[in-house]
Amino acid sequence: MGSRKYVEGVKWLGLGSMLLVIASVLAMIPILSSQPQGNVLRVALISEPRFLDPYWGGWNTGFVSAQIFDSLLQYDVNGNIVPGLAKSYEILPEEGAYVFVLREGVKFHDGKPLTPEDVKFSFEVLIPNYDTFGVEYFANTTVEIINSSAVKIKPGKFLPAIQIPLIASLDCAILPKHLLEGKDYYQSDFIYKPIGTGPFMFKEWVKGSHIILVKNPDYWDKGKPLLDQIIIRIITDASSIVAALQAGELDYVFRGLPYEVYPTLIKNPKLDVIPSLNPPYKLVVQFNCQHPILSNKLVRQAIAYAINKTEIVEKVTLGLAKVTYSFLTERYAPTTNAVVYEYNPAKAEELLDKAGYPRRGDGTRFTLELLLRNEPEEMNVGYMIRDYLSKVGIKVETKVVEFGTWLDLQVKGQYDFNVGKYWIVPFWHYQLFTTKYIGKGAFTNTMFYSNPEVDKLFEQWISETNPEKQKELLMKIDNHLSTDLPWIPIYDIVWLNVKGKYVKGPDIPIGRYVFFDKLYNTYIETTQVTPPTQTPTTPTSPTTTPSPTPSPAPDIMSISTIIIVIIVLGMVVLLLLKRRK
Amino acid sequence: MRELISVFYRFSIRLLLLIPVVLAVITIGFVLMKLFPGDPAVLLAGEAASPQYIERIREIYGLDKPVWEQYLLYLERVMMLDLGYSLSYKRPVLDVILTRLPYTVILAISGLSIGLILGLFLGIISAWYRKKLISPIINSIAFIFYSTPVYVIGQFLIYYFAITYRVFPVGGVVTIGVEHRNFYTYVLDVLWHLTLPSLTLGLVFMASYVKLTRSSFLEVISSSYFLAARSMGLRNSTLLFKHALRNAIIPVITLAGVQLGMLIGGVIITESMFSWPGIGQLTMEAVSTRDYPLLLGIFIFTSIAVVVINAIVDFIYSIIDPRIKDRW
Repeated sequence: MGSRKYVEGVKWLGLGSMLLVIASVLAMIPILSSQPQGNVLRVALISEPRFLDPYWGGWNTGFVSAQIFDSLLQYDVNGNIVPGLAKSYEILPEEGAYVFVLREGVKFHDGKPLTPEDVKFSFEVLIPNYDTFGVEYFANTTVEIINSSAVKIKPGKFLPAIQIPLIASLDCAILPKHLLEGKDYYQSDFIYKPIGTGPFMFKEWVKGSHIILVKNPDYWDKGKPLLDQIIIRIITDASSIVAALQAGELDYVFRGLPYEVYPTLIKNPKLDVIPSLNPPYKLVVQFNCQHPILSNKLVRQAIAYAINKTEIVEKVTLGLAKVTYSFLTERYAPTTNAVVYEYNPAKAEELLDKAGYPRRGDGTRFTLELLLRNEPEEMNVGYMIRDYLSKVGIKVETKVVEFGTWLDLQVKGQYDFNVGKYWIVPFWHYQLFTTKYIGKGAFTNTMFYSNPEVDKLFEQWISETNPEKQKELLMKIDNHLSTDLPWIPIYDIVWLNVKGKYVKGPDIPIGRYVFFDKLYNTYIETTQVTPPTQTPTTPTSPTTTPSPTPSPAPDIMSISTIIIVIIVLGMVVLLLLKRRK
Repeated sequence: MRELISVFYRFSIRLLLLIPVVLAVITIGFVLMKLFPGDPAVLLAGEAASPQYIERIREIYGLDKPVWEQYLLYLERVMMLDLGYSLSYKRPVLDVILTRLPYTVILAISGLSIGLILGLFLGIISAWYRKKLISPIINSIAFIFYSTPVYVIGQFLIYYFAITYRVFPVGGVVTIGVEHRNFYTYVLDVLWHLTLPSLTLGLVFMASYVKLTRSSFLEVISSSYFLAARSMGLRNSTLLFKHALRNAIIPVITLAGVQLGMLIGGVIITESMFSWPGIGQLTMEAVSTRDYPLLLGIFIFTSIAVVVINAIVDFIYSIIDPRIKDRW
C-alpha cells in the first residue's frame, strides 16, 4: 500500500494548517475583548441612508439626521411641540406669519454661531426647494429679520395646522448658510458630511458598513446629550440583526424586525422588547373609487363587513398589532367618531344584494383584482382578504408586483383595490383624501376619492390655529371617511423596538415624528453596584465616568472550546508519533 | 519571441471579445429595466413626497427625456469609461463600485482559497484512500455541504460561533468604534470578522471541489502513464505532486476561475447575511432603489471581470499544462 513517507507528508501538511488556524484564533482572542467602551449606543439600520440630509431622505436618513440637525421647534418626549432653536414663538394669523425668537449662543458643529441669516436662508432657499413637504407647504416663503435674534417667517400660503408641526419637525431644520450658499444642494458634499447644531456631530461614514456620530460638547441644551457616541451599523438582513442582538453586538433596533422574532427575543433576559405604536402607521385596504363596481359605497361597506380584522391580526402579526376602524390615531383626534364595521358576513351579503350584485349561477357576484406588493406582511393580509371575500361571493384575483410597479399602477388608476401601509398624520391625509390632489402622482389621492364635505372640512382645518378645534374638525373628517371608506383601515402597525436592558432614558421607543427623534436623553446604565442616582432628565450625565468594568473577556464556553480543540490535536500528534515507531 | 507574439495575439483576441460582451450587457440591461413599469423619480423622492417635488426630481435627472436618447447618452458615456452617475449615491458609479470592490475581492479570494485548499486536500485523500473508510466519510460530508443552501450554512455558523460561543462576530468588517492601536491589530480584527463569511463560502465551494478533485484524480491514477511512473519506482510524494496532482488539478482550476469571476459580481446572500459591504449588497441596494446607472455599471463591471479573469485562468493553464500552450 501507500508508502509511509507520503502518508506522513499529507498528515503533517494537514496538521500544520490546522495548527496555523488555531494559532490565528488564539491571536485573535485579545480582540474579542475590545468592544467599544463607555456610553456608546450601537444601533442597526436595515437599509442604508443614501445621504444624510434633513429634507429629502427616507426614514433611515431621517433617524441619523435628527441627531445632527435642529429645528426652530421640536417635539418633546410626549409628542408635544416645544421650543427648539427658538426660545419662543408667536403666530400672527392676521399677517399670516410666524415670529420666532432665537436662542442665544447656539453654535454649528464647525464652531460658527447660528444667526437669523441661517434661518432666512433655510426657509427661503432650502426648504421651499429641497424639502419633501416644504416644496408644497412653504413655497414662496419670505423671512424678515426683525433684529439679531428674531425673525418673521411668512409662507406663501398661511396653513398653521400643517406648518407648525412641520416647523417642529426635521423637515424644517436650520442649516448653515455659510456652507451652502450659492451651492447646488444635491451635488454638494454637505449631504455626506453634514454639519448642524444638533446633539451629535457627524464623525465618519463607511458606506455599506456604519456611521459614527459623536457627542456635541457645545450643545445648547446644557448637559445633553448623555451618550458619547452613537454607532449606526448597516445590517440589511433581519436575521443577522436578531443574531447581533442576541450576541450582544447591538444595543437598539427600532425597525426591520418581523413579528415572528417576538417570541424568541422576549425570552432573552438581556433584552427589552417594546411593541410600539409610534410612529403611527396603518395597514389598510385601499379602493380605486373610479372602478365601476367599487365606486358604489355599499360595496365598499360590504367588503368592510366581510373582513375579520381580529383574525388577521392574530394570524399575520401574532396578535401584536391593534385592530382599527379609524382613519386617524388617538394622538391627532379621539377616534371614537369612526364608524365601526364588526365582522358580519351576513350583513355583507345583504349589502351586496342591495347594491345590485346578487350571486350568479356559479355562486359568485363579481370578480376583482387585488394589487399587492412583494412584501410578506401585506401579501399575507391580501391572501386572507381574498378568502374572506370569496365567502361572500366576491371572486378575488391577486396580482403581486414590486414596489415601483405597485405605485405606478395606482397612479395610473390601473387597479381595483390594494393592500398597503400608510403613515398616519393629518397633513398627509390632506393630500391623500382631498379632491384637488387627484391625478397628482404617487402618494396623493390615487383612490380618486372625492367628497366635497371632506374637502371643506380639510380646508377649515388647515387654517385653524386652535388645537382643540383642529381635533374637532379631524373627528368630523374621520366620521366622513369611515362612512365613505376610500380605505378600510385594518390594523395599527406595531414596531418592535428591541434594546439591551441597560439602555435607559425616555427617548426609546422612538417614533414621535416618523423615526426622526433625537436620542439625547438616552444613556447606558453601567452594571456597577451603584445605579445612577439622577433621573435621566437631570442635566448631569448619570454615567460621566467610563465604567471600569473588566473588558467582557471571551466567555468560558469559547475558552473551553479552544482548550478542547488543543487537547484533541495533541492527542492526534501523540498517536501519529506512536505509529511512526 | 514566437511565444511572446502568440501570447500577445491571444490576449488581443480576448480584449476584442470584451466589446460585444459589454455592448450586449449594456443593451440587455437597459432594455430590461426600461420594460419594468414603475417610476424612478417617485422612488428617488422617498416615502412620502409631494407631486411638485417628484416633478423636480424628474427634471434634475433627465428622466423626462425619451428612452432612446437616454440609451444613446449612456452608450456614449460608457465608451469614454464613464459609467455614469449613481442616482442614489450622487457620485460617479465607478467610484461607488470601486469603494465596494476590495471587500468583495477579499471575501471572494479567501472564501475560494478555503474552498480550494479544503476541497483539494479532502478530494485527494478521498481518492488516494478510496478503499478505506475515510473516503465515504469525506464524500458524504461533501455531499451534505453540496446540498445545503448557503444561508443555512451561514446561519448555522452564526448561531454556533457568534451567538452560542461568541468566538466570532456576527457581521461587519471591523469592530466599529474601537480605535486600533496599530495596523497589525486592525488586520487581525478584519481577519477575525472575515472568518465566518469566508468559511461559509469556503464550505460551499469545498463540496464541489472535493467531488471534482476526486474524480479527476481517480482518472489520473488509473491511467497507464501513472502506472508507468509508479513502476519506475518513484517516490510516492513525487508520484503524487509531480504526476498525479498536476494533471488532476486542471479541471479544478477551470472551475475555480469561472467561480472567481462570478464571485467578483458579488456574493449577495453571504454578504447581506454577514453585513459585508461588498458589491453583492450594492447590487441589492441598486435594485431596490432602482438606481439604473449603478445597476448597469455593476453589470458591465461584472461582465468585464468575468472575461478578464477567464483570460487570466487561460494563462495559468498554459503554465500548468504545457499541452495547452503548444496548442496556441
